[in-house]
Amino acid sequence: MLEGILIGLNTAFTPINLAMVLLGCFAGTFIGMLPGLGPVSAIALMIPITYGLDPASGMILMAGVYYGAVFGGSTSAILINAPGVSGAVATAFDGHPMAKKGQAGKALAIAAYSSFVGGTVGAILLLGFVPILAKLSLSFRSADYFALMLFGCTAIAAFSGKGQVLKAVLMTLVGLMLATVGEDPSGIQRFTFGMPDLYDGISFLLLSMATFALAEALFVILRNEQTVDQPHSEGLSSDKLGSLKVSRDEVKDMAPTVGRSSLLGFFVGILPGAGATIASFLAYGMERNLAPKDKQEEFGKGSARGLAAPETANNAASTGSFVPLLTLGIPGSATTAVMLGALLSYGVQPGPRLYVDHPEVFWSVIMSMYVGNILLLVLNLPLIPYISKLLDIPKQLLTPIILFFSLIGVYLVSFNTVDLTMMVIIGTAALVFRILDYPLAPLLLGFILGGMMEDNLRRALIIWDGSWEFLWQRPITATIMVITIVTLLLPLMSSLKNKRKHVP
Amino acid sequence: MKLMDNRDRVGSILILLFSFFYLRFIFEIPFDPTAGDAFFTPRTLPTGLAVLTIVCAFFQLFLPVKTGEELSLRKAVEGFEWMPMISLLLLMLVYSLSFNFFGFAVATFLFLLGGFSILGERRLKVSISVAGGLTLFMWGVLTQLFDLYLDSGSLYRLVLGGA
Repeated sequence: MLEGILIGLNTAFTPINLAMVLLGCFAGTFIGMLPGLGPVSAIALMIPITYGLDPASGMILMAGVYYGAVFGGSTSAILINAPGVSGAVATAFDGHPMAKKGQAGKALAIAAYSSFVGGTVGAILLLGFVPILAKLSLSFRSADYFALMLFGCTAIAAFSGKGQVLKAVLMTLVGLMLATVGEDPSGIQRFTFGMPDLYDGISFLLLSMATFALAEALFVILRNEQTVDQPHSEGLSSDKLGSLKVSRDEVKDMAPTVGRSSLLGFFVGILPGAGATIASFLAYGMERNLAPKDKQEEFGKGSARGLAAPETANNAASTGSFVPLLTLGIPGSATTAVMLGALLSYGVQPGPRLYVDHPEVFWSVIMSMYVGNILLLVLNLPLIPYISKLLDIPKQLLTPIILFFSLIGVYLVSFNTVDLTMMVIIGTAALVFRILDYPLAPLLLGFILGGMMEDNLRRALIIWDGSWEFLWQRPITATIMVITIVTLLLPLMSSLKNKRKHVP
Repeated sequence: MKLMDNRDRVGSILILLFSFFYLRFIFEIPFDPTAGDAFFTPRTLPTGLAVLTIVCAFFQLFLPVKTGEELSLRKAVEGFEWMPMISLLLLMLVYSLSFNFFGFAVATFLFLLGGFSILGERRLKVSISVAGGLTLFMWGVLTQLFDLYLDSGSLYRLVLGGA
């Protein structure tokens, strides 16, 4: 492990990679502030830029964008009650009331310090957990990989929340079906309809931009949250930030909250499908229940604890979601699913072999998190008053610019305008499902995991001479299959039970 | 039509239709002539996925449902502004189809101008400066900084007779 840390430090502290962390944190903060774009869109927008870099630098940039976007989403949640990312929704509960009381600067400072602690604790825990999981993963074979991919697909469906399990399963299956478009491993064309543009299948960047950037931006327009005459809904001008200072007593009061929320956030983040949003809500709920009666009443009205808890948890969860990605090759969230796709496009196979085959990618991402957390705090805090001026750009100008960046990002990958047309069609379908309240993250996850699932299943069947016995005869495979079945059935049964209760 | 007012069921109908469409085209997938009697063919996984999706979609469609306003499609789309959204979708489609004809610069400039106008920006000076400025900036960054080739468009070649 020490050798790995040294490799990571060596790689992370090169001038180019330090520049990548800086750029990533800054770009991520800015993009995360814009409602309609989140860390998924932010990272997807970065991918074309990273093609010219080596994999370690590309991953460091994207990781910086990820936690920068999580932090940036909090800034708009606090200032204008419009969370830029779903993980910042709980931040708005107490962040915006605090800002309305004239304490916007303090609220932003608390958010920054809490995010720093959450991210740093997460990075320390990541360092401890990753080698253990990496050692275990070296004994994996094709059958085990197949079971793992299946678990990845079902886990995100299972963690989709009340009443959403079957819908998430359906969207995962649609994603898996989309992954079969193009050439299969034996070279046979599937679902290409004679179009050469589809021979290589659908690009994951196209799908992720269409489902997250395009569909989300169009959904905001549909709901018409702001009109031309009202550049801001409610909220305050970015001039009225006030002091950024937090007193010693306030720090002492928040310290236990921040400690507990870091641990909760990290362990929730490890679970595939859970992510920053669930972590932030759980932390908020936990702290409200643990607070003394007089402090409990402050929650929802500008409580420092109520702000610190979700902010700490969402950053810790963002770090935790790297554990399954780096060690098992299973994305822990939609954002890490996009990163997984990016790694594949660099020719780096994420998963149990990453630790052995590409230790410089593996360790440099982890070490860059320490650097990134420090940079986020040191750079962004003084820059917040200036960054927040970007929120003053009227929506009628900002939205077409976001749409343009989404389209051009996809075009720059293939230089093929057919991809742009496909993006519009897929974006429209994604918007329809958005309106119907079907979750889109499982679609992306199914798409990313589909190709790897088929490869490993094919190989496993070849090794076992066409027999499916590998599913229960290999101990690791059998264990993962049992966990998969339980993970899927429990929430499904609970969801079906709830539906029956409500039958009129 | 209560069925069509329930968001969950409308979604499952759409997925069901997609699955049947997908299943139909599985039969167009050729067999690998060298594979012989292989147990796992290019059709295996797609068939499994299609069948599983159809079964799950039927489950979603015919299971007893919660009724309530939160599932009503009509309630969900109340107050939606359809015209700007549809106009933007059409604008993006036109952008993608006309990109090769107009070239990056002209197509992007017109796209941004159109987008600003659809969303209600009436100050022509502002629209032109922002659209023009951003187009020029992106053209400069992509072609001069990153040394990428951006097609100047058939129109440019038609008018100026360039390559």
